[in-house]
Amino acid sequence: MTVQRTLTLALCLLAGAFLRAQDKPPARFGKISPADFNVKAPAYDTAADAVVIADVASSEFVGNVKGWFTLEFKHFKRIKILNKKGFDAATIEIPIYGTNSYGQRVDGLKAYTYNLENGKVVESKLDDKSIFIDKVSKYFMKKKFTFPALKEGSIIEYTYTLQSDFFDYLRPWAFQGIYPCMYSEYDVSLPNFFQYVTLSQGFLPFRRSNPTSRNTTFRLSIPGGADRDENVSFEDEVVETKYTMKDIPSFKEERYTTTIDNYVSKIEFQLSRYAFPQSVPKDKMGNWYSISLALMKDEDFGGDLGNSNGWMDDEMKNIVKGAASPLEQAKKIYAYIRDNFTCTGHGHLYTSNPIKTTFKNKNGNEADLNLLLVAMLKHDHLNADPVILSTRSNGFTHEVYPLLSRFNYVIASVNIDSTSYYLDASEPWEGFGHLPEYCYNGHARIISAENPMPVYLDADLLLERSTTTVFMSNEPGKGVLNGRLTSLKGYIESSDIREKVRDKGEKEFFKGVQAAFPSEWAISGTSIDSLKLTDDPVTVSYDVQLKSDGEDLLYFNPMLSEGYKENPFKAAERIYPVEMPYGFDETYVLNMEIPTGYVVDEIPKSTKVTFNDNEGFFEYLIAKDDNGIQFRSRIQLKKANFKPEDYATLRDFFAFIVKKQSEQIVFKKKK
Amino acid sequence: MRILTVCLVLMIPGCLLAQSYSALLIPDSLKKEARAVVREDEYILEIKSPSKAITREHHVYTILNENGDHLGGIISRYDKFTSINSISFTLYDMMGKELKHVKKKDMEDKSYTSEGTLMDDARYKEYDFYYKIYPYTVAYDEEDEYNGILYFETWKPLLNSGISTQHSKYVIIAPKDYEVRYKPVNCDLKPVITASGDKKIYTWEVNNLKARVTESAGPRWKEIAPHVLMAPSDFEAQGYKGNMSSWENFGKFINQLRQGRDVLPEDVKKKVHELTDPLKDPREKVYALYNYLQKNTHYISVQLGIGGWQPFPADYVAAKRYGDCKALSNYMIALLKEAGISGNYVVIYGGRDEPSLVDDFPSLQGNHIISCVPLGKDTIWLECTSQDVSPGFMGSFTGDRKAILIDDAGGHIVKTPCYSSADNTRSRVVNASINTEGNLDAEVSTTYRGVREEMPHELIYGASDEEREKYLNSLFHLPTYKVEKSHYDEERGPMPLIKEYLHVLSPNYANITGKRLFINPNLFDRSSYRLSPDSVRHYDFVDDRAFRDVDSITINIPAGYQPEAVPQDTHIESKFGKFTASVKVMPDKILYYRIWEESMTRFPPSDYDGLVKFYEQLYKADHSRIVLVKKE
Repeated sequence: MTVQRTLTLALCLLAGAFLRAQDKPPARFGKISPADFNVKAPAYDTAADAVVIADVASSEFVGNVKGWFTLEFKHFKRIKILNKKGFDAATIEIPIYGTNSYGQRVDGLKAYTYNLENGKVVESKLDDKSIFIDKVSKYFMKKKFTFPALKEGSIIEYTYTLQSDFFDYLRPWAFQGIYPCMYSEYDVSLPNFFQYVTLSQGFLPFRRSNPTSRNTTFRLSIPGGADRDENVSFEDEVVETKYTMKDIPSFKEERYTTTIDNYVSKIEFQLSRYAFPQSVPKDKMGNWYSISLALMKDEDFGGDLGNSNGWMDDEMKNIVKGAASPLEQAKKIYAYIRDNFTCTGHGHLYTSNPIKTTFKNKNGNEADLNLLLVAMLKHDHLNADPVILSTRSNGFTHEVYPLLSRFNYVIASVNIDSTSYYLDASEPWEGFGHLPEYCYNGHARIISAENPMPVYLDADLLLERSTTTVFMSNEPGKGVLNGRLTSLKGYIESSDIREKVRDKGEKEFFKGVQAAFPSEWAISGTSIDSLKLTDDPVTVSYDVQLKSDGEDLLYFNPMLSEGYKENPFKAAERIYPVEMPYGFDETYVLNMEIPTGYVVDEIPKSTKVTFNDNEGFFEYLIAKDDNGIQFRSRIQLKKANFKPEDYATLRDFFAFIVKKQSEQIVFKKKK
Repeated sequence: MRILTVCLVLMIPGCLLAQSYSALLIPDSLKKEARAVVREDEYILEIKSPSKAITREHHVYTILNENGDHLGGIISRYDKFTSINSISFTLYDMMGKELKHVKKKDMEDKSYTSEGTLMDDARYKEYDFYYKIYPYTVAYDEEDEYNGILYFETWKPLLNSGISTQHSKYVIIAPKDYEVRYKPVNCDLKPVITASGDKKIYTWEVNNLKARVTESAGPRWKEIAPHVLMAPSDFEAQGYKGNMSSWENFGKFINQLRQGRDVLPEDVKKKVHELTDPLKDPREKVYALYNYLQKNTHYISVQLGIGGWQPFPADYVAAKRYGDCKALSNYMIALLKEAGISGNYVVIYGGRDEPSLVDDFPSLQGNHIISCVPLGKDTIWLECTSQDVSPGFMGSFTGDRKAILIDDAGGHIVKTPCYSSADNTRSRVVNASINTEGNLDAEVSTTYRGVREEMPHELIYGASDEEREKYLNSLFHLPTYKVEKSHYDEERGPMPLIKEYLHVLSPNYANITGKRLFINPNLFDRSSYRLSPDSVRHYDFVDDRAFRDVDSITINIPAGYQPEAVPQDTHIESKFGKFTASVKVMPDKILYYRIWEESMTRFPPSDYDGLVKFYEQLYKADHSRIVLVKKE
């Protein structure tokens, strides 16, 4: 649903206003005058610590000596540092991927700091010795530097060209960043022979210039090995488009957001077709069918899934021993990987090793483990497929465009008796058919050569259901108030509890439970059921007892320690949508006998409020008769995603819950 | 055929398990409270000359559960002085059967440059088996070569909390005439010394050490674990020679690294005179120059070669306006020198949880540099990496600890200022009112002093306006609230002070049930600290904070209510601290007064029950409510 909204928005923007001719950068590299120092924190971002005066870049293709094309990304950025907290803006990292023979290079890096001293501009050049190359890993390094002679009020600027052999990765452009920006421009020159789809997103609109076209000659040199290199040149039309945005506020992180990346104003490009002169155009982006087919053949993805994988025959017999049905078979295979393999990292679309190696090493990233899972399920003739998705923190995926670069995660699906189960064997807590909450990010895709269907893993569909029941009785000799609480937790909370208990132990876990009670309450007789049965939620139970000296008045909160004590929505305002991990339905029921020797002096009033008609409700029902009190509190929010406009209502809804759940029953000693 | 099979079965335990890495052989006593067991630990340091050494390591660890997994992988650092000749790393299953073997070339090679550092030329090799069928065993062998020596590895027969040791050995092979320096800590482990030709061999060895476990609020691991510190006597690195046998010599080495690096450019010299010549008082001159330093430089970390210990020259800092702790302290001292004031370079451990300096064992210690200006009986301490901290104030990062002051004669042990509960104060005056709906409107004026000042100081200087607002709106444990207004003023000086004003609105703060109004008069500062009563304490309880908090709160209440239940006053004055909470309900308002004072103390384990009770009393007092009932 959310994905669709973004897409619609993108289309609107693309159809939006063409840029007027006068839009041009307010600054040029190396051109500076005292008047340029007048820049202050802009009205739309008065608390800024630094302000970007100009952020200007261009991308274009040039022929290279490897017989193909290099992408030239030219970047110029000028920033005014307003105060010391903005000094961080003066340390720059340029990431460089690939190797010497095929990858990226940075040329012509120049950087200056300008200070205004006695009305004159004093410049300090970045010297080459102060530019560092940090080789982070085999295929990734960073060029790093920090500006010299920095002061409050300094203007800094730098420029460089990034030459990239990755011609199919046209740099995206984010207009919005952590500092406000007065002018942002991206100038993209695309030859006819590379056709791109443009995607855009964000809450703020940018402008697009009227595309201009020119004929350009491309010269390529094709290495001839022992023979002489062959020089080729041809002419093609190049279309230049300029995207600009002005007066852009910085983006602000908010709680309950999947990722700010989904809302930052930016444009991205995806190579869709080759259309070289005098040749038949060739589709490069493909569709979900062609992409699926390619992935299933890719040795770093599904290459091993089509094989018989006879090497696992013997082990498989042991693993599924005793399984009476296909479902049991699937469960045993799933549990085998989950319980015996270590996940070395999440967020990978591709395997790091052939599945046979993964099987032997008993470790791998989540793609390794889940593709091995698919292979093992298939080996035993179960109907299994890989499913690719993008985790919540990685942003949304497109249902229409098969953009693999948006995906970062692989899970497995298995269909048994026309029921589909989605499996992730990389998390030790996940039961069969359950996924970690970060997988619930809307559109995901089954990868199958025959039927690459979309799957919708929507947080709105995830309902966390918990039921807590408490019986308070008048058992003699156990103090004035005592009882037993039994809480059947929601599935996700159960996973959290399993993790806590594993890390710290059950004793520590219950210390936490005790600490949530006021000091006059003691808990005992603690137990947790189903800790090891990861397919089921856990049940936590314990006895509670009030240490009392027989006061004349007893104040008793029927929620015990289970109520909301603080509003989860702290901030008073909201810019972006609220994206909670799941909807929930929490029921709390208490039945109590009136403490011996006491009468009810006062009890809270029953009440019920609904949230946005039928999207949720909170009820607080309480009744008493001569012997006892029946109480029930239920909070239901049927969905997880809310518009920014709903935020105030959501905050008020929880404020009301917090208030109501802190109310007390008052018992008075019989005279 | 049958005979052959039997043979094989018999042979497997015979040959493959010869090294007896089977986890089944670990005595039960070593498994108690252990997440991992060091089966073998052997470290051989062969000193060839003051600048050259070779180390050979052999480690075998059995990992018993998930919490020991970090020993199932290795990270090996190398830099300009250290090269790794070879590494091999092998994984064994529970029975001691080899599962996997890797070498140096199989490992990942990564940059040591961390977040917050512009550049560090150190790198590391990394490998992890990511195995999770427990118990499992890893064996790892490494040989390193040192070209340049500054320090020797400490012998740690017990690696860390929750790890027992079956066998651990440390060997130093040194030229006969080379003075090997060592100091046992928390133990009296002594080496066996033997001679072999022109070499002397020192061997330390232990067997079967049970796991020890650190406790929360207990002493640091280093304070309870047996270990032997090792250090060179004569040493040489990157052409710099030194001797570590005394702090005096250590200081001379540091001076050598700084020699000729205090030359200021002419324009800065001029500026120094411009700033200080008109001033008489040397203290004011120091403040003026420190203020200049703070205004004109900032912290950037670049660590290259011996640069880990050598500062960038003063003219470099003047031109770039940045440097790390060494470069900025060195620069500050150069500024002082130009003004005719003698400042000192001080080596220290910076950080709240850093180990303390071992002052009777001169060796390469410390991780930070500050500077100081001795003025008669008084000394002005200067943290040169901060653009905002008050001159003379050391705070929790560098306060109350031993350090090595370097002067022309060499190094001397000194102590930085310690702040008591009379210094670290927070006094808060609240004028609040609660209306008939239970909504709270509070004007909060707070003065923070000493170490208590550090948090609001960060809010002024370290946080953006947006971060400050976010922080303030999630700080208090109020049901729903908003900080409507906030304002801060700082008075700088050796004992800095910050005045904070907040206007806080909290709807439904007081709970209304029918005719009753429930109010917790302690609005902003409830102790949440509780100790578990059933823990058995082995080590001291360390209270490492000294402070005094005073709250005076007035809450106006709606008319027509009378008190039904009022919490009793709490007054505790014990060795665990002083605490008073008193509440008075008047017809139109509530007066609440609270004072809590703690000093830095260590309590023996036998005091634990008393501490449990103390914190429980505070918790109860801080969470008690007043019940008001409407007059009929």
